[in-house]
Amino acid sequence: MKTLHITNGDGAAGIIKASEIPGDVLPWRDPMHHGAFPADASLDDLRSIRAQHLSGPGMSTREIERDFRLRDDHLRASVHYERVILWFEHDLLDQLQILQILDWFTTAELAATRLELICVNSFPGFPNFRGIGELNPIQMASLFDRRVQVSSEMMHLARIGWRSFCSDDPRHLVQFINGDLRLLPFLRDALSRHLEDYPSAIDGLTRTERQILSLAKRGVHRPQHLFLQNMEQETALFMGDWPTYAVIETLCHAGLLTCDPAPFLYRVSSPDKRRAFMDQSLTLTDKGQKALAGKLNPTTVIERDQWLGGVHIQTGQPHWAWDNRKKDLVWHGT
Amino acid sequence: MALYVGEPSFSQLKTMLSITDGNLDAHLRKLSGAGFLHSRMVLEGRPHTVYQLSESGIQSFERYLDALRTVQTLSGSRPKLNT
Repeated sequence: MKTLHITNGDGAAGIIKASEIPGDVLPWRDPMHHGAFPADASLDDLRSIRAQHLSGPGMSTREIERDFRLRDDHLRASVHYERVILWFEHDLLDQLQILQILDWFTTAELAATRLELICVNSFPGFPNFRGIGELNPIQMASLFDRRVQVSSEMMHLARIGWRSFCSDDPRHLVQFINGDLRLLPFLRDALSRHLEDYPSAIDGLTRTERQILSLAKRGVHRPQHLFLQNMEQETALFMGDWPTYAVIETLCHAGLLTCDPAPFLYRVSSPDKRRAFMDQSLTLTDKGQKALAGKLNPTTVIERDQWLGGVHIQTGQPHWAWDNRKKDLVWHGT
Repeated sequence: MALYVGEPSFSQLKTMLSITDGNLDAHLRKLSGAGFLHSRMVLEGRPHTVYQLSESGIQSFERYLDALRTVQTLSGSRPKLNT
Protein backbone atom coordinates (compact mmCIF):
# COMPACT_ATOMS: atom_id res chain seq x y z
CA MET A 1 0.00 0.00 0.00
CA LYS A 2 1.53 3.31 -1.05
CA THR A 3 2.01 5.21 2.20
CA LEU A 4 3.07 8.66 3.33
CA HIS A 5 4.33 9.02 6.91
CA ILE A 6 4.16 12.49 8.44
CA THR A 7 6.06 13.02 11.65
CA ASN A 8 7.31 15.73 14.00
CA GLY A 9 10.83 16.37 12.72
CA ASP A 10 14.01 15.03 11.22
CA GLY A 11 14.85 12.76 14.16
CA ALA A 12 11.69 10.68 13.94
CA ALA A 13 11.67 10.91 10.13
CA GLY A 14 15.17 9.41 9.99
CA ILE A 15 14.14 6.54 12.27
CA ILE A 16 11.08 5.72 10.16
CA LYS A 17 13.25 5.78 7.01
CA ALA A 18 15.77 3.46 8.68
CA SER A 19 13.06 1.02 9.78
CA GLU A 20 11.44 -1.70 7.71
CA ILE A 21 8.25 0.32 7.39
CA PRO A 22 7.72 1.08 3.72
CA GLY A 23 6.68 4.50 2.50
CA ASP A 24 7.68 8.10 1.97
CA VAL A 25 8.38 10.34 4.96
CA LEU A 26 7.56 14.00 5.53
CA PRO A 27 8.92 15.75 8.64
CA TRP A 28 6.71 18.61 9.89
CA ARG A 29 9.58 20.91 10.74
CA ASP A 30 8.13 23.88 12.64
CA PRO A 31 8.45 24.78 16.35
CA MET A 32 4.87 25.99 16.43
CA HIS A 33 4.71 26.81 20.14
CA HIS A 34 6.22 30.25 19.48
CA GLY A 35 5.55 32.77 16.76
CA ALA A 36 2.49 33.87 14.86
CA PHE A 37 -0.34 31.75 13.47
CA PRO A 38 -2.89 34.43 12.66
CA ALA A 39 -6.53 33.41 12.39
CA ASP A 40 -7.63 32.33 8.91
CA ALA A 41 -4.04 32.23 7.58
CA SER A 42 -3.70 29.41 5.04
CA LEU A 43 -0.63 27.19 4.69
CA ASP A 44 0.40 29.48 1.81
CA ASP A 45 0.04 32.57 3.99
CA LEU A 46 1.92 30.96 6.85
CA ARG A 47 5.04 30.19 4.83
CA SER A 48 6.38 33.73 4.89
CA ILE A 49 5.05 34.46 8.39
CA ARG A 50 6.80 31.43 9.85
CA ALA A 51 9.96 31.96 7.80
CA GLN A 52 10.29 35.50 9.12
CA HIS A 53 9.92 34.22 12.68
CA LEU A 54 12.43 31.39 12.27
CA SER A 55 15.07 33.03 10.09
CA GLY A 56 18.40 34.42 11.26
CA PRO A 57 22.09 34.18 10.45
CA GLY A 58 21.74 30.37 10.46
CA MET A 59 19.10 30.19 7.73
CA SER A 60 17.60 32.89 5.56
CA THR A 61 13.92 33.63 5.17
CA ARG A 62 14.17 32.48 1.57
CA GLU A 63 15.66 29.08 2.50
CA ILE A 64 13.06 28.44 5.18
CA GLU A 65 10.23 29.50 2.87
CA ARG A 66 11.55 27.07 0.28
CA ASP A 67 11.52 24.24 2.83
CA PHE A 68 7.95 25.07 3.84
CA ARG A 69 6.86 25.26 0.18
CA LEU A 70 8.32 21.83 -0.55
CA ARG A 71 6.76 20.47 2.63
CA ASP A 72 3.36 21.84 1.65
CA ASP A 73 3.70 20.50 -1.90
CA HIS A 74 4.35 17.05 -0.47
CA LEU A 75 1.38 17.38 1.88
CA ARG A 76 -0.83 18.25 -1.07
CA ALA A 77 0.47 15.09 -2.74
CA SER A 78 -1.34 13.11 -0.03
CA VAL A 79 -4.08 12.42 -2.55
CA HIS A 80 -1.63 10.27 -4.50
CA TYR A 81 -1.17 7.91 -1.55
CA GLU A 82 -3.43 5.08 -0.50
CA ARG A 83 -2.65 5.79 3.14
CA VAL A 84 -1.26 8.68 5.21
CA ILE A 85 -0.01 7.89 8.72
CA LEU A 86 0.68 10.63 11.27
CA TRP A 87 3.37 9.67 13.82
CA PHE A 88 3.37 11.90 16.86
CA GLU A 89 3.72 12.05 20.63
CA HIS A 90 1.94 13.76 23.48
CA ASP A 91 3.81 17.05 23.95
CA LEU A 92 2.77 20.57 23.00
CA LEU A 93 4.80 20.74 19.80
CA ASP A 94 3.36 17.51 18.45
CA GLN A 95 -0.19 18.25 19.49
CA LEU A 96 -0.08 21.59 17.67
CA GLN A 97 1.30 19.86 14.60
CA ILE A 98 -1.52 17.30 14.74
CA LEU A 99 -4.09 20.11 14.95
CA GLN A 100 -2.62 21.97 11.99
CA ILE A 101 -2.28 18.88 9.81
CA LEU A 102 -5.72 17.46 10.61
CA ASP A 103 -7.25 20.89 10.06
CA TRP A 104 -5.69 20.89 6.60
CA PHE A 105 -7.03 17.40 5.91
CA THR A 106 -10.58 18.47 6.77
CA THR A 107 -10.63 20.45 3.54
CA ALA A 108 -8.47 18.12 1.44
CA GLU A 109 -10.20 15.91 -1.08
CA LEU A 110 -8.60 12.63 -0.15
CA ALA A 111 -10.96 10.37 -2.08
CA ALA A 112 -9.59 6.88 -1.41
CA THR A 113 -6.71 7.86 0.89
CA ARG A 114 -6.94 6.41 4.42
CA LEU A 115 -5.79 8.73 7.20
CA GLU A 116 -4.34 7.07 10.31
CA LEU A 117 -2.76 8.31 13.53
CA ILE A 118 -0.12 6.94 15.88
CA CYS A 119 0.22 9.10 18.98
CA VAL A 120 1.92 7.85 22.14
CA ASN A 121 3.00 9.19 25.51
CA SER A 122 4.94 6.13 26.65
CA PHE A 123 7.00 3.22 25.44
CA PRO A 124 8.06 0.05 27.32
CA GLY A 125 11.55 0.43 28.75
CA PHE A 126 11.45 4.23 28.68
CA PRO A 127 10.36 5.33 32.18
CA ASN A 128 10.95 8.97 31.25
CA PHE A 129 9.68 8.74 27.69
CA ARG A 130 10.19 12.02 25.86
CA GLY A 131 9.21 11.16 22.35
CA ILE A 132 9.37 8.83 19.39
CA GLY A 133 12.70 10.36 18.37
CA GLU A 134 14.28 8.32 21.22
CA LEU A 135 13.28 5.00 19.69
CA ASN A 136 15.40 2.80 17.48
CA PRO A 137 14.04 1.67 14.10
CA ILE A 138 12.77 -1.67 15.47
CA GLN A 139 11.01 0.03 18.38
CA MET A 140 9.56 2.61 16.00
CA ALA A 141 8.26 -0.12 13.71
CA SER A 142 6.55 -1.78 16.67
CA LEU A 143 4.29 1.29 16.95
CA PHE A 144 2.88 0.58 13.51
CA ASP A 145 0.18 -1.70 14.90
CA ARG A 146 -0.96 1.01 17.30
CA ARG A 147 -2.27 3.21 14.54
CA VAL A 148 -5.94 4.16 14.55
CA GLN A 149 -8.05 5.45 11.72
CA VAL A 150 -8.66 9.19 11.97
CA SER A 151 -12.43 9.60 12.24
CA SER A 152 -14.47 12.53 11.01
CA GLU A 153 -15.13 13.35 14.68
CA MET A 154 -11.40 13.57 15.36
CA MET A 155 -10.98 15.81 12.31
CA HIS A 156 -13.80 18.04 13.52
CA LEU A 157 -12.25 18.28 16.99
CA ALA A 158 -8.87 19.14 15.50
CA ARG A 159 -10.42 21.83 13.33
CA ILE A 160 -12.01 23.51 16.33
CA GLY A 161 -8.76 23.15 18.27
CA TRP A 162 -6.70 24.66 15.47
CA ARG A 163 -9.08 27.60 15.10
CA SER A 164 -8.96 28.13 18.86
CA PHE A 165 -5.16 28.17 18.82
CA CYS A 166 -5.13 30.65 15.93
CA SER A 167 -7.84 32.88 17.37
CA ASP A 168 -6.80 36.34 18.57
CA ASP A 169 -8.95 35.71 21.65
CA PRO A 170 -7.29 32.98 23.75
CA ARG A 171 -10.49 32.42 25.70
CA HIS A 172 -11.52 30.26 22.75
CA LEU A 173 -8.57 28.02 23.55
CA VAL A 174 -9.49 27.85 27.25
CA GLN A 175 -13.04 26.96 26.26
CA PHE A 176 -11.71 24.28 23.91
CA ILE A 177 -9.45 22.83 26.60
CA ASN A 178 -12.40 22.59 28.98
CA GLY A 179 -14.44 20.66 26.43
CA ASP A 180 -14.56 16.96 25.64
CA LEU A 181 -11.15 16.07 24.21
CA ARG A 182 -11.26 12.30 24.70
CA LEU A 183 -10.76 11.64 20.99
CA LEU A 184 -7.35 13.37 21.11
CA PRO A 185 -6.48 12.65 24.72
CA PHE A 186 -3.15 14.48 24.97
CA LEU A 187 -4.47 17.83 23.84
CA ARG A 188 -5.59 19.10 27.24
CA ASP A 189 -2.23 18.82 29.01
CA ALA A 190 -0.34 20.07 25.98
CA LEU A 191 -2.48 23.13 25.38
CA SER A 192 -2.57 23.91 29.10
CA ARG A 193 1.22 24.08 28.96
CA HIS A 194 0.85 26.51 26.08
CA LEU A 195 -1.24 28.82 28.27
CA GLU A 196 1.50 28.76 30.91
CA ASP A 197 3.78 30.40 28.38
CA TYR A 198 1.64 33.52 28.42
CA PRO A 199 3.16 36.22 30.65
CA SER A 200 2.05 35.64 34.20
CA ALA A 201 -0.50 38.01 35.66
CA ILE A 202 1.50 37.88 38.89
CA ASP A 203 5.17 38.34 37.96
CA GLY A 204 4.99 38.99 34.21
CA LEU A 205 7.17 35.97 33.38
CA THR A 206 6.26 33.00 31.25
CA ARG A 207 6.76 29.56 32.78
CA THR A 208 9.76 28.95 30.53
CA GLU A 209 11.33 32.28 31.48
CA ARG A 210 10.76 31.55 35.16
CA GLN A 211 12.32 28.10 34.85
CA ILE A 212 15.43 29.50 33.17
CA LEU A 213 15.84 32.32 35.68
CA SER A 214 15.42 29.82 38.54
CA LEU A 215 18.12 27.61 37.05
CA ALA A 216 20.46 30.61 36.73
CA LYS A 217 19.73 31.44 40.36
CA ARG A 218 20.79 27.89 41.29
CA GLY A 219 24.13 28.40 39.55
CA VAL A 220 23.49 26.98 36.08
CA HIS A 221 25.41 29.33 33.78
CA ARG A 222 26.23 27.69 30.46
CA PRO A 223 23.65 27.97 27.65
CA GLN A 224 23.65 24.24 26.93
CA HIS A 225 23.25 23.38 30.60
CA LEU A 226 20.37 25.80 30.89
CA PHE A 227 18.74 24.16 27.87
CA LEU A 228 19.25 20.62 29.15
CA GLN A 229 18.15 21.36 32.70
CA ASN A 230 15.17 23.35 31.50
CA MET A 231 14.08 20.20 29.67
CA GLU A 232 14.04 18.41 33.01
CA GLN A 233 11.47 20.90 34.31
CA GLU A 234 8.92 19.71 31.77
CA THR A 235 6.67 16.70 32.12
CA ALA A 236 6.25 16.61 28.34
CA LEU A 237 9.29 18.01 26.60
CA PHE A 238 8.40 20.26 23.68
CA MET A 239 11.00 22.99 23.29
CA GLY A 240 14.21 22.48 21.35
CA ASP A 241 17.51 24.23 21.86
CA TRP A 242 17.05 27.24 19.55
CA PRO A 243 13.68 28.32 20.97
CA THR A 244 15.18 27.97 24.46
CA TYR A 245 18.13 30.15 23.49
CA ALA A 246 15.72 32.70 22.03
CA VAL A 247 14.08 32.90 25.46
CA ILE A 248 17.51 33.36 27.09
CA GLU A 249 18.20 36.18 24.62
CA THR A 250 14.93 37.84 25.62
CA LEU A 251 15.88 37.56 29.30
CA CYS A 252 19.26 39.17 28.56
CA HIS A 253 17.64 42.02 26.63
CA ALA A 254 15.32 42.58 29.57
CA GLY A 255 18.30 42.80 31.93
CA LEU A 256 17.17 39.78 33.96
CA LEU A 257 20.22 37.78 32.90
CA THR A 258 23.65 39.07 32.06
CA CYS A 259 25.98 37.32 29.64
CA ASP A 260 29.76 37.20 29.75
CA PRO A 261 30.86 38.08 27.13
CA ALA A 262 27.95 40.27 26.08
CA PRO A 263 25.79 40.20 24.09
CA PHE A 264 24.43 36.65 24.26
CA LEU A 265 24.81 35.02 20.84
CA TYR A 266 23.30 31.72 19.77
CA ARG A 267 22.54 31.92 16.05
CA VAL A 268 26.10 30.94 15.19
CA SER A 269 26.97 29.35 11.89
CA SER A 270 30.59 28.28 12.14
CA PRO A 271 32.35 25.68 14.32
CA ASP A 272 34.73 28.22 15.92
CA LYS A 273 31.81 30.43 16.93
CA ARG A 274 30.12 27.32 18.30
CA ARG A 275 32.90 26.99 20.89
CA ALA A 276 32.48 30.64 21.84
CA PHE A 277 28.73 30.07 22.13
CA MET A 278 29.20 27.18 24.53
CA ASP A 279 31.64 29.18 26.70
CA GLN A 280 29.20 32.02 27.31
CA SER A 281 28.23 32.41 30.96
CA LEU A 282 24.81 33.63 32.01
CA THR A 283 24.14 35.07 35.46
CA LEU A 284 20.98 36.23 37.18
CA THR A 285 20.99 40.00 37.76
CA ASP A 286 19.52 41.90 40.70
CA LYS A 287 16.62 42.80 38.44
CA GLY A 288 16.24 39.11 37.63
CA GLN A 289 16.12 38.32 41.35
CA LYS A 290 13.36 40.87 41.79
CA ALA A 291 11.45 39.55 38.80
CA LEU A 292 11.59 36.02 40.20
CA ALA A 293 10.36 37.34 43.56
CA GLY A 294 7.44 39.04 41.80
CA LYS A 295 8.60 42.49 42.90
CA LEU A 296 8.52 44.14 39.46
CA ASN A 297 5.59 45.46 37.44
CA PRO A 298 4.33 42.38 35.56
CA THR A 299 3.27 44.42 32.53
CA THR A 300 6.70 45.95 31.96
CA VAL A 301 9.23 43.48 33.40
CA ILE A 302 9.96 42.30 29.85
CA GLU A 303 9.49 44.41 26.73
CA ARG A 304 7.37 42.16 24.56
CA ASP A 305 6.39 42.00 20.92
CA GLN A 306 5.61 38.34 20.51
CA TRP A 307 2.96 35.99 19.20
CA LEU A 308 1.52 32.85 20.74
CA GLY A 309 -0.61 31.25 18.04
CA GLY A 310 -3.09 33.91 16.98
CA VAL A 311 -2.47 36.17 19.95
CA HIS A 312 -0.16 39.17 19.71
CA ILE A 313 1.32 40.34 23.01
CA GLN A 314 2.87 43.78 23.01
CA THR A 315 4.14 45.79 25.94
CA GLY A 316 2.14 48.97 26.29
CA GLN A 317 -0.92 47.40 24.68
CA PRO A 318 -3.72 45.66 26.53
CA HIS A 319 -3.05 41.94 26.47
CA TRP A 320 -3.91 38.61 28.00
CA ALA A 321 -1.90 37.17 30.88
CA TRP A 322 -2.00 33.81 32.65
CA ASP A 323 -3.02 33.52 36.29
CA ASN A 324 -1.60 30.21 37.42
CA ARG A 325 -3.46 30.33 40.76
CA LYS A 326 -6.84 30.64 39.08
CA LYS A 327 -5.71 28.58 36.07
CA ASP A 328 -7.29 31.17 33.84
CA LEU A 329 -6.47 34.10 31.59
CA VAL A 330 -6.82 37.63 32.85
CA TRP A 331 -7.03 40.80 30.78
CA HIS A 332 -4.31 43.35 31.35
CA GLY A 333 -6.14 46.37 29.98
CA THR A 334 -5.32 50.02 30.09
CA MET B 1 20.21 11.11 -10.86
CA ALA B 2 21.91 13.40 -8.29
CA LEU B 3 19.05 12.76 -5.86
CA TYR B 4 19.18 9.03 -6.61
CA VAL B 5 22.86 8.52 -5.82
CA GLY B 6 23.43 11.19 -3.16
CA GLU B 7 21.96 13.70 -0.78
CA PRO B 8 22.93 17.11 -2.16
CA SER B 9 22.05 20.54 -0.78
CA PHE B 10 20.30 23.18 -2.83
CA SER B 11 23.55 24.94 -3.66
CA GLN B 12 25.26 21.67 -4.61
CA LEU B 13 22.38 20.79 -6.92
CA LYS B 14 22.50 24.24 -8.42
CA THR B 15 26.21 23.87 -9.18
CA MET B 16 25.79 20.34 -10.56
CA LEU B 17 22.96 21.35 -12.86
CA SER B 18 24.13 24.86 -13.72
CA ILE B 19 20.66 26.32 -13.34
CA THR B 20 19.15 29.30 -11.56
CA ASP B 21 17.56 29.27 -8.11
CA GLY B 22 14.12 29.73 -9.62
CA ASN B 23 14.58 26.93 -12.10
CA LEU B 24 15.84 24.52 -9.45
CA ASP B 25 13.01 25.56 -7.12
CA ALA B 26 10.52 24.69 -9.83
CA HIS B 27 12.06 21.25 -10.41
CA LEU B 28 12.16 20.44 -6.70
CA ARG B 29 8.54 21.53 -6.34
CA LYS B 30 7.49 19.17 -9.12
CA LEU B 31 9.30 16.30 -7.42
CA SER B 32 7.87 17.14 -4.01
CA GLY B 33 4.40 17.59 -5.45
CA ALA B 34 4.61 14.06 -6.80
CA GLY B 35 5.82 12.75 -3.41
CA PHE B 36 9.24 11.93 -4.87
CA LEU B 37 11.38 14.12 -2.59
CA HIS B 38 12.74 13.59 0.90
CA SER B 39 14.49 16.39 2.75
CA ARG B 40 16.65 16.49 5.86
CA MET B 41 17.94 19.41 7.90
CA VAL B 42 21.68 19.29 8.62
CA LEU B 43 22.63 21.26 11.71
CA GLU B 44 26.41 20.88 11.58
CA GLY B 45 28.04 24.15 10.56
CA ARG B 46 25.61 26.48 8.91
CA PRO B 47 22.17 24.80 9.04
CA HIS B 48 21.02 23.70 5.61
CA THR B 49 18.66 21.25 3.97
CA VAL B 50 19.72 18.27 1.88
CA TYR B 51 17.52 16.37 -0.55
CA GLN B 52 17.11 12.80 -1.70
CA LEU B 53 14.59 10.79 -3.67
CA SER B 54 11.85 9.33 -1.52
CA GLU B 55 11.04 5.63 -1.70
CA SER B 56 8.37 6.23 -4.33
CA GLY B 57 10.77 8.58 -6.12
CA ILE B 58 13.40 5.82 -6.25
CA GLN B 59 10.84 3.33 -7.53
CA SER B 60 9.68 5.74 -10.19
CA PHE B 61 13.24 6.57 -11.27
CA GLU B 62 14.15 2.88 -11.44
CA ARG B 63 11.10 2.20 -13.60
CA TYR B 64 12.34 4.98 -15.86
CA LEU B 65 15.83 3.42 -15.98
CA ASP B 66 14.30 0.03 -16.81
CA ALA B 67 12.31 1.61 -19.61
CA LEU B 68 15.48 3.22 -20.98
CA ARG B 69 17.29 -0.13 -20.85
CA THR B 70 14.41 -1.76 -22.70
CA VAL B 71 14.55 0.91 -25.39
CA GLN B 72 18.33 0.50 -25.61
CA THR B 73 18.01 -3.27 -25.94
CA LEU B 74 15.33 -3.01 -28.57
CA SER B 75 17.23 -0.45 -30.59
CA GLY B 76 20.43 -2.51 -30.26
CA SER B 77 18.73 -5.59 -31.68
CA ARG B 78 17.01 -3.73 -34.50
CA PRO B 79 18.43 -4.63 -37.98
CA LYS B 80 20.30 -1.80 -39.64
CA LEU B 81 18.65 -0.13 -42.57
CA ASN B 82 20.29 -0.60 -45.94
CA THR B 83 21.31 2.72 -47.36
